[in-house]
Amino acid sequence: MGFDRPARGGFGGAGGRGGGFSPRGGTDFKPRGGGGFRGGDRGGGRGGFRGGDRGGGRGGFRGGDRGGRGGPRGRGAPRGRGGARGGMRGGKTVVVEPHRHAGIFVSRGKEDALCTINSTPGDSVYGEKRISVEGAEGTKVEYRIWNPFRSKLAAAIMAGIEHIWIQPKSKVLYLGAASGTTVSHVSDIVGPEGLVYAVEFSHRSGRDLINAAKKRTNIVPIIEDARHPQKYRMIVDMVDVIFADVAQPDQARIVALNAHHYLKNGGHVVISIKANCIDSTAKPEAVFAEEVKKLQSEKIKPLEQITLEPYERDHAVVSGHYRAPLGGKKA
Amino acid sequence: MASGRVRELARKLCRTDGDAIMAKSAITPGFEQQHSLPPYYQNNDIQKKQRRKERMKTKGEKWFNMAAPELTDELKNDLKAIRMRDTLDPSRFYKAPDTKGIPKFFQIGTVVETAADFYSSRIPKRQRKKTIVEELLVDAEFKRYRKRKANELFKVKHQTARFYKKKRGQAVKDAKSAATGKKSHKAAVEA
Repeated sequence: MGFDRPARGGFGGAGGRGGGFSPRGGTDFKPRGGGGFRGGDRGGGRGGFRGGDRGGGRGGFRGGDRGGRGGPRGRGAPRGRGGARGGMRGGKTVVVEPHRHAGIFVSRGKEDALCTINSTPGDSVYGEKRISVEGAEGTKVEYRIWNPFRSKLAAAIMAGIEHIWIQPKSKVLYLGAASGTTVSHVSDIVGPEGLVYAVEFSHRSGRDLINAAKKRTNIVPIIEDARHPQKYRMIVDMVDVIFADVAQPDQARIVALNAHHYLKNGGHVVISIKANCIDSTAKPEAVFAEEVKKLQSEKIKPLEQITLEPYERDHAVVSGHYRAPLGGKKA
Repeated sequence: MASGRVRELARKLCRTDGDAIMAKSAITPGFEQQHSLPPYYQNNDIQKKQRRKERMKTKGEKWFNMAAPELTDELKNDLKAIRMRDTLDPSRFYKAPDTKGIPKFFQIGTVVETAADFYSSRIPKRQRKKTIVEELLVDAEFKRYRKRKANELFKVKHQTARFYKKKRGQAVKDAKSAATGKKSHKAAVEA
């Protein structure tokens, strides 16, 4: 898609066109009322700094900004019809199909859900639901449900992003890893031959991250400030993709610094931008445009921008091509 | 001594494992049961085709080699049920499915509940079923809805069927009377 189109679906309006579950990124079926994950899934916010918004209300969004970087990441799933019989109760039968994006799958039943192959079968990282598949000759595969209300990468996929650039065997530098919820799914996607360097500054959430990394050998946890990439130069190798979810005012600079250090030429950058964290007075669209301009000045050619509207408020995910080869060659 | 040497040679010839000479031999155990000899040399096109065929059996490395299952009636019915799920629950809305036909690569899985799950988010072991269709068949709420809906449909169908029968019967009668020159009862009254 051309970059001139600012965002699908528009900011602040109803959701984008949502190509989440479709193998071709076209239309998909989503239950009414905003939430793809109704019923059984009640992924409450980790960190629990959501004072007093536990009221009913279906789907949708309650006000109140959730914390910035690190600690209080209260990304909760909206509550559905409380305790209704969802399609995701333990023991339900579902069909798992490959998604359009490599390494990602869709489970279809009464409800649809994104999922990734669980690299540590029998273990869920943050209390997410799992799907167990018994194949031929007694082989067992397990999938973990990936909730777009808790992960911006999953939200971007649901919103219909064209490329996430993360695929099996790729090396990823993940800035702003927090407690490792999304990181665990990224580690599932890249598989045993890939690698995820997960950078997080906060010790508190870094502890969870390290615990997640203990069981997953392809995660390298780094408890450092992403503003000083030279501090982890002895650990990090050249990477294919940088994913950044740092929510800092100087986010673009942080990403660019890391890209100059570790991203290979022609590699890709995927950044989640939270408008509030950069400038709470300006309009979100203006903030996004400003950030994209900063990226452009750092040799990152913007490829697409997408709003996470039904899942996060005033968030955008921007992907870019670092030191793109001349002559408009495709990556 | 000669018979001993022959025996040794025979033993050597019959061995196929780990012997460099016999590695490429077509004379393998069970050789006499084969209908024809496998070709020693295959040209590139055929090899390519075979490799392609092998490759098409799975979704590929990018999806961790998800295999294409053998389609049984049960699997087909399950997929059909998912395709038509917008008819299962009147209170739910689904967008139309964006793919045609049955997917080639898929797996049937079961949701695993976590230890922290409450009773409402798990199905008791006895009520667990192997397929989606079976799950639907024991769902009481769905059963009620299905019955009501089916009754409504049959009613409409029944009515229209009677309507058509009546009309067609009338037409036949009219045609008969026209042919014989006799006036129908209705025409006589009008006259």
